[in-house]
Amino acid sequence: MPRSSDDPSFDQLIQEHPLTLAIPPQIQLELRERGPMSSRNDDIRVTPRFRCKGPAILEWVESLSAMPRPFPASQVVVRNLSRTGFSVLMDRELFPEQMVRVYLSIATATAMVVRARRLGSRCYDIGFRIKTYQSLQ
Amino acid sequence: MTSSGLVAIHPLTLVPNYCAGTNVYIWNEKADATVKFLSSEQMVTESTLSFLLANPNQKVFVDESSYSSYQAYLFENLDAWLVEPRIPGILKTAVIAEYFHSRFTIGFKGKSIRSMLDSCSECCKHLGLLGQHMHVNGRNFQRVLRHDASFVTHAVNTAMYSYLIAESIGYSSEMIIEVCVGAMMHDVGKIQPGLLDGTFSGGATNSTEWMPRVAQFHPIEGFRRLCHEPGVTEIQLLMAYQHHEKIDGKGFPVGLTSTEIHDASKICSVANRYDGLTSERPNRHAMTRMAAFRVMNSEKNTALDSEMIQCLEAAMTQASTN
Repeated sequence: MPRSSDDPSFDQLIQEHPLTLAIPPQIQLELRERGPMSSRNDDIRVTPRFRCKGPAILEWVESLSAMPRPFPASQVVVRNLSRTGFSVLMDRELFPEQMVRVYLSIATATAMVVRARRLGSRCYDIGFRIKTYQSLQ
Repeated sequence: MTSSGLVAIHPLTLVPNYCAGTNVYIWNEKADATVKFLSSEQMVTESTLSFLLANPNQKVFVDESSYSSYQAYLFENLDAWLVEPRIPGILKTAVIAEYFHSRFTIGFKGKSIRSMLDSCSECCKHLGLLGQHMHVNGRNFQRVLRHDASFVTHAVNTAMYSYLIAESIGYSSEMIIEVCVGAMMHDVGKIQPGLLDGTFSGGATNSTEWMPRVAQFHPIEGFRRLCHEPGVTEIQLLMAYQHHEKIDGKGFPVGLTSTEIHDASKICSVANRYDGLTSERPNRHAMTRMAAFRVMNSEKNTALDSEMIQCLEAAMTQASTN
């Protein structure tokens, strides 16, 4: 979804949605790392994934009919990304097949949840597959 | 199915004053062979039933070629049997267990999630009907359920045990049915797309087909397969998704802790574990009820919910009153 000149800037969005995550200390350390992630034996990813840390805004787009769980737009922390997907740290659990829109400083994307892992009481690692991608540059 | 052209059936599905619609055979130990017990036109009598009740380990078979007649006999008479007060509870439990097995096998062979879901709904409606007319007893379940390592058996048994727990914790009858359907479908993520042809004989239960990746991801895959199917409820989705979550947060796929796991998923988790322990597996024999509860009680409040274990244990140890 392209942003128009009337839309708030990325910085404004970040200010309007303060981070409510509680990132566990061991994950804080991990977030300092950069560069390509080593693949595991059972990894089925087809494109390399890179560690990064940056803010993003996640917005609910479409839920499952049996589980309508809309949530307010939230600030999340991007943890890693590849050409086909990314993962974020978020303060709530999302479920597979839910659709979201993510606002990054350089792009917007729509993506589908593929997995979620609880890291702490207000911290979930959520993996997404990118459906559409729109660069802002 | 057997290579001799006979199919084993549960002896207590032979209901007095009805014809099974096919020749029925029993295993004769002395002759070391099967002998004809009832002809296709012959009605089951009270003395037939007395013989079968007195010989609980008697193996009974029908012709493979006319198995569909036996299924028709089960399907057409089931409702009448379930509400008939003169039919003993153990027979009603046996016919419903056999019906579940037959009906779910048909749904499974339908090669689609929809056909499986339809068969589960059909089965659980009948279980609800049974529950309206008698107290469903855990001991009877233990006596009539199969304990082999097949996917269908595991689905059926998990649904039956979930029924007992859900009833025991006071769920409404509608909710009990919802939970039972969820329990029957909980492992749907284990079915590999190429195996949706009815030949799949197990997931975790079949070591030759078992793959760690399937083990790890089947709750997510099950959720994905069910979430776009009309009529599937949130509870059923969560049962497929959360039945390997553990109370201490060390389960998968999410690692949720006790309060974050839905109660219906805790029910499914306990029912799943109990059936896993009390059924045959390629690497070990089935455990007795007491041994299974010893194991499960050692896992309470780490892996399993203690209240759900208590409910199932109480239901399974309660003496039969019908």
